[in-house]
Amino acid sequence: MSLIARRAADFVRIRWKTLAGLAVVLAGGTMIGVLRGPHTEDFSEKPRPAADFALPDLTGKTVRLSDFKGQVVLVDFWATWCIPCIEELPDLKALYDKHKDRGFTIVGISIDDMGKEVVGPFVKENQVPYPILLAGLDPVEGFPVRGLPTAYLIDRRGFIVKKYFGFKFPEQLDKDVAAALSQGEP
Amino acid sequence: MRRNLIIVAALTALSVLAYFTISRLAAAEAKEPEARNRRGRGKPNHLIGEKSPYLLQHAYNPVAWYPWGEAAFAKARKESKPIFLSIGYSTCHWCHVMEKESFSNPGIAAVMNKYLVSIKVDREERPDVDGIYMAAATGAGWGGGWPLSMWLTPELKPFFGGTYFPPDARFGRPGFKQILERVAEVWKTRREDVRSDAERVAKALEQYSRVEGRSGPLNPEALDKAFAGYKESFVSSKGGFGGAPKFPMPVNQNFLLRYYARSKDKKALDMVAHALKEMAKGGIYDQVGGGFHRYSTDDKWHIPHFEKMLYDNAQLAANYLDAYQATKDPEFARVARETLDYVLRDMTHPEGGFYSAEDADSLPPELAGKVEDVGHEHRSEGAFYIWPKGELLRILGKDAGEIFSYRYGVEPGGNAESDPQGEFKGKNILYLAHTIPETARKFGKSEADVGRILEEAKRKVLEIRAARPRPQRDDKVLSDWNGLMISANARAAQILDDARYLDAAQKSAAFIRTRLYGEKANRLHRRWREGERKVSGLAVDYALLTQGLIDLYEATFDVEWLNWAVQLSEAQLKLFYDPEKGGFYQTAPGHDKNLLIRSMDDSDNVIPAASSVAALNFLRLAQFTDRKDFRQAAEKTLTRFGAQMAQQPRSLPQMLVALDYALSKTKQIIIAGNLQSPDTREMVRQVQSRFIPNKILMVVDEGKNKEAFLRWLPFLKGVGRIKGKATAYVCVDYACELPTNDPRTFETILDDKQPNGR
Repeated sequence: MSLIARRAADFVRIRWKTLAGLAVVLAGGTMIGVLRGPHTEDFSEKPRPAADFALPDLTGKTVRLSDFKGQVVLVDFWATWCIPCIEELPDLKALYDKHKDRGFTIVGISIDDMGKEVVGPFVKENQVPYPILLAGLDPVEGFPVRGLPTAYLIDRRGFIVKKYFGFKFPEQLDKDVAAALSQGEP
Repeated sequence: MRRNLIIVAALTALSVLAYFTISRLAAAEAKEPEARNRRGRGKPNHLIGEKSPYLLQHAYNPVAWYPWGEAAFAKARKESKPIFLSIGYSTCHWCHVMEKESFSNPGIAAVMNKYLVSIKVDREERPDVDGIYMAAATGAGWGGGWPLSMWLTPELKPFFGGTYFPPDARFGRPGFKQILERVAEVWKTRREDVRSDAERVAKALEQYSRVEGRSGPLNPEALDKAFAGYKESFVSSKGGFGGAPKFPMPVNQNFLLRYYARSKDKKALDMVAHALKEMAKGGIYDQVGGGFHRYSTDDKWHIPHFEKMLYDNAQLAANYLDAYQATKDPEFARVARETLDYVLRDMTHPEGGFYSAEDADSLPPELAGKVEDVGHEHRSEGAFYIWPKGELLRILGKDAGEIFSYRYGVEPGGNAESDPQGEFKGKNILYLAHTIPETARKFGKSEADVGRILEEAKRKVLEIRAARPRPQRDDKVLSDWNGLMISANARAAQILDDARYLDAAQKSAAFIRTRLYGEKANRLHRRWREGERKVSGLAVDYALLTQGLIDLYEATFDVEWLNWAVQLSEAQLKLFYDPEKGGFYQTAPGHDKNLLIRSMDDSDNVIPAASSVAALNFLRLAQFTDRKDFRQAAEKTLTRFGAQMAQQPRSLPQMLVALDYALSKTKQIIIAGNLQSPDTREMVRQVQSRFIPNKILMVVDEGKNKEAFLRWLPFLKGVGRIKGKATAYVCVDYACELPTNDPRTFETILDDKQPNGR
């Protein structure tokens, strides 16, 4: 497939374009990967326990990470104004539908400053099927966020195995979730 | 071989017309004395009802000129006469020569009137007509340039052509008179041969108009290849690319600056900076009044042809602004300012539209009041701009006069190294011969003192000059050229933070909107003069005006300009776009049924091709509006020329700019704030002070601008100020920064450094 055809295909989903980031050469000439642009950090060799959090959902009810104990959880930081977050929403919904019956959930954490006022209508309009929590601009301890979207994949034991920055490529994410689900399957 | 004798040229070349042929045409235009304007003498011909200054220059010729139109065509058909089509523009030097030597000559006119139907076209009004016959002339090997002289069958198919012809054989060229007679003879005796030649040319034109075999994938290597080519042709000692005659070619600088932003290769910036500095030092730059002349006849920008064109000045001002952003060298800002100020001072309609051009020739000041200044009889090249040293010393006094002379290379006997027409004898073309420090040393003064003396001297010289007989101004207002000037002023407002330029850009846009645009039909016209608008807009009118409006939005943040840009873009897709293969035709269907072909510009010349400009516009607008069809139109257009960009990248430098945009990590910068408040303005300033070509910048407040944007970008609902302070939301490359209301963090983001997270 030609470059243009591939790119056109990309644009079915990724409206706000650009080619994936090229490696940046830092001083000393070492290729250390992308400074910007989507990338993944893998902690599966040295997984660390995820901190618990307690945040309100759209009804005001407090939801904790520990509520999902024993499940694989994708903690996804996003906002209504974040273009790549909107772009990947259909992928996330499909991922959720595919794996939810095997003990998988997504917990979306909105950092919208305007909170429920904009998040509520957005979730309704886009029929987001998984829990959405409201963090506002306050940091969530144990989950550093440099930009959006940022997501953490947590295994059944409650350990962080992956961190994703930027648009998440659906095939990769699906593989990661499936792998996490197959570990320690009840 | 019983081929037509007068048709000496090979016709086969047309279908393989090299991409860059047209770009060389501009150089083919010649220089020499001037034509006679017989206004008020004798009986006018059919051009008298026209508004084009160029056509009116010919309205009192004894030649029975017709404007392009049915009256002429019907006459040719009815009388079975060939058509003589002559195309030029008001500041075209050789056009004036031919007017004076041949078209004012009653004997020649009688022959023309007997055997031919003669049509005059102003190429600035009708670049579509010009483009088609220019392609025929160059493709058939008749040679291209202006004036363009073409002989056509009554069906408008060309069978012979050329450019300037002397009245009698000379300069190794056949004489115009002989050609006229020869054409009359073969038309009488061998009409079928002539017609069959014309058919062949028409067929080759048809083939050419398909713009095929150029498509290919979008490949960043085209950018590298173009850069390598520029490096090769860069003239390190004299600035610019290639030898004499030298055209500033603003699209070259556009490409190289973008390439610098992409690659961070300092060489790209250095070449631009050097070229721009050398131009600004040369006689091609009006050292006293600001603004650029059209090109130089030598290879070091010293001896210009003195006409000033709006499109050059607009695009060069933008070049200098970009260079200023990229280097922070105030010298570039100065040249940009002076150039824009020249246009505002001398080239602006009281209600804001920009005029088209100023002629090279004018009555030498020493003849003022001694002869009648009608037509070009007594006018000479550059007379308005050049100085005998004695006059400067008189004006400025001996001390300042000598300092001024040293600085600007003025010599007692004149300073022109070449003077083919003998028009510069004893006179000086001002150029920057010495720097301020050199001048200060020479005269044992401080730099500050010398600077002051020179400023004052410049002011005086400009004042005296203003009283000289002025070159004729072509005061028609063209949509595309105004679009370029709107861009330049809008960019200046962004970068120099000067409200005068913002005002000028807005006034011009409003001028075009009221006089050249029909809102209901959503159609643009091309030309306005003296209350009359004429010629349906061409693709290039839509494209360059749209570009101006996008730039104007990014200077005013008034969404109405963007709205109009979107409207024009929709019209463009409907009227000019090839939905099958991409690219934009020059004309809309049904534009003029007399055009032999529907052509598509395939090279970025002094004025870039509509497809190149449109590609970048659609990429930018796709981001502002989230319109997928806009993005697709841009990509398809780039694809249509993909192979051409890869193989002949320098034929399309402006399209490479769009390619670079399409392939790069563009930033979407949204500032939630209120332009009345200093924190918002500061954030805007932070963006505008940096050279970040591949970005869009929006300011959304809680008012009508946000409402308007919400139609296109519903996600903006969630974009607001944080803690009451102006807040920047930046997305790039599939990811967004956290919103920030901290100016330092914002700068970090703009500089592509990693801000602290949370």
